[in-house]
Amino acid sequence: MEKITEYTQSPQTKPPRKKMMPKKRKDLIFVWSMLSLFIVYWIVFFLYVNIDSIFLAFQDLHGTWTFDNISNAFRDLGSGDSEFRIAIKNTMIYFLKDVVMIPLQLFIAYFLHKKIVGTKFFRIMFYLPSLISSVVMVTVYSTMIAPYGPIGQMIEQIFGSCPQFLADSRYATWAIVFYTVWIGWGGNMLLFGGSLARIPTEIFEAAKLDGVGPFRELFELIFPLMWPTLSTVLVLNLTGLFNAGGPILLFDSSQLNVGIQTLNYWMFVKVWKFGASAYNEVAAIGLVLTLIGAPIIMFIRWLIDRTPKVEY
Amino acid sequence: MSATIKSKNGTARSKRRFFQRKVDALNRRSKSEKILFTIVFVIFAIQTFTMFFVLWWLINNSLKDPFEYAQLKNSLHFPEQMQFGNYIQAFKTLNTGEITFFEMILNSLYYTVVCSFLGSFCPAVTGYVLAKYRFKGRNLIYSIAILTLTLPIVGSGAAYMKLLHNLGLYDNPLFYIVNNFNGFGANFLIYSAFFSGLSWSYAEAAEIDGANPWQIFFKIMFPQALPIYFTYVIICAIACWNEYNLMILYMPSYLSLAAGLYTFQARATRAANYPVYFAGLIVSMIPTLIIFGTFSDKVMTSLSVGGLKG
Repeated sequence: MEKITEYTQSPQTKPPRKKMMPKKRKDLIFVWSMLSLFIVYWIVFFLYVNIDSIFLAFQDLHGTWTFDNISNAFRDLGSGDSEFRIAIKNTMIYFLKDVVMIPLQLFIAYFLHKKIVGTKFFRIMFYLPSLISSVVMVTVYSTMIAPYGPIGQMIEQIFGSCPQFLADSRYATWAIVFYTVWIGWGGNMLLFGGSLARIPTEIFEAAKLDGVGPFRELFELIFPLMWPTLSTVLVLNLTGLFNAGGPILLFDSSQLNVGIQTLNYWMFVKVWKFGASAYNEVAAIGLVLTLIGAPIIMFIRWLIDRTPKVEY
Repeated sequence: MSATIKSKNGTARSKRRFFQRKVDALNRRSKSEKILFTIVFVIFAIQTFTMFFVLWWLINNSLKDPFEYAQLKNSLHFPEQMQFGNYIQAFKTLNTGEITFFEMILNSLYYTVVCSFLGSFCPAVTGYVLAKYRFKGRNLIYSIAILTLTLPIVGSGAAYMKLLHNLGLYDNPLFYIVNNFNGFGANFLIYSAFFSGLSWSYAEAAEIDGANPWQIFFKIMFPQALPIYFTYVIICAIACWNEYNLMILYMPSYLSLAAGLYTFQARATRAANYPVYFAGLIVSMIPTLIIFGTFSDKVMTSLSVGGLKG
């Protein structure tokens, strides 16, 4: 992020600070007429929404000021089996899964970069899940792993019985996590591929001549050289920590309540199903989470940014 | 004619041979590496097979008679008789409430066009202005834009919904235009980096010839960003065609195809005609596959344009 900032602020010829020239005035009219609509948009849909969200957190349904929502949020946070706690736990599972997937996705990009047989074909196939609607993929996946589906049948033959993975709270979240791993195989593939391609070939050649094997090449060359990209992906993941999850809505079409909710999904359902009567609760929980989470996230981000970067 | 083709082929071949040698020197693999690459190849092949299997399974079962499909244990069998009529049935019967399948397709088209063309254009405007003009407040706007992108705020969805109701945008097709009017999304940084690396000399020449800033932007500077713009258009179009969350939450009367199919399935009972539903799913996949098939090189190669250095 910082890199781009520096880049865009590269020195431009500074206009002399004298009385306004007609050209300068024309430029200013252009600048503000182009920007004004977007600034108004930002004020309404970002600034106002977030300030109103804070207000909502301290109001009840009728707009009277109260502290109940916040104390309820803390109470839910404290009690072990509340929906809120399950949502937090699941969100963390998805977040950790995303982090673990980063090196895995890098491995995949590495082998594609090394021109493994069928690279072009694999690249397209790994990109396929981004093309096909999740509605399609989830429908097929859920049918496959159901006890009567082909994979369910296989499991039944091997183990004697097949649980209802998606209807059993013990397995449901893990079945969805497995789905997101399967689908997310090629995530970041293009980004990592692009930055691998930018590493000068001479470095690989020199390493090759020195007899460096693929594992050392990966850990001692590629990881440090790609750190700027990896850290950016990590920072993006961190920023979206509370939004981590999968296409839970699609898995939850029968609304069985088997403990698969993430924070994002849980709030989505509250607003979707209960409308105005859930606004205050959702806003309060959002506020509590942001106040607790944001400093931690910012601190980790600061740590990541501090790690030295290799220049090449 | 044939001679030119021959010579062209000749140079191409010698070029290829030259590169082959260069690549070979770098990619010559030792025995242990060969084993590693073989293992990885097998894993890749299995993953690919699962993707093919999904597609095959879907097409296979979309051609079955509903009673035949009902015996799910046989879902791997080929249909006894191909029921191509299922695809016509999909257009006729896959309705959710008052929205017909055909209307869903039209809604999806509308969303896709708005999102891809407008949504990819707005950040180009802000990116350009902030990269190429110095004015009071520029740094402030820049910092706020970056702060907006990086603040981990959660739970403002309720306030957003309230605002949409107050503005009359809830369940209103205009919502989608408003929703895509964001000039400070992540793409803004990419455009801004691109434009600040772009020379101003053409624009200067045009300025001397009397062009105004609008002409400079639309006729000289923006056309140079067209490759990035079109890449975003394609990526947005694919993502947007498959979008369902926004429509289910904010536009229940104007469901997109993906949202409509989800709703149909959520309301369906066991007795629903699943092969027809599968046929609908396959129809919903066709546009993105066509877009990708046509522009795959663009999507695959230019994603890293002006992006992250690393």
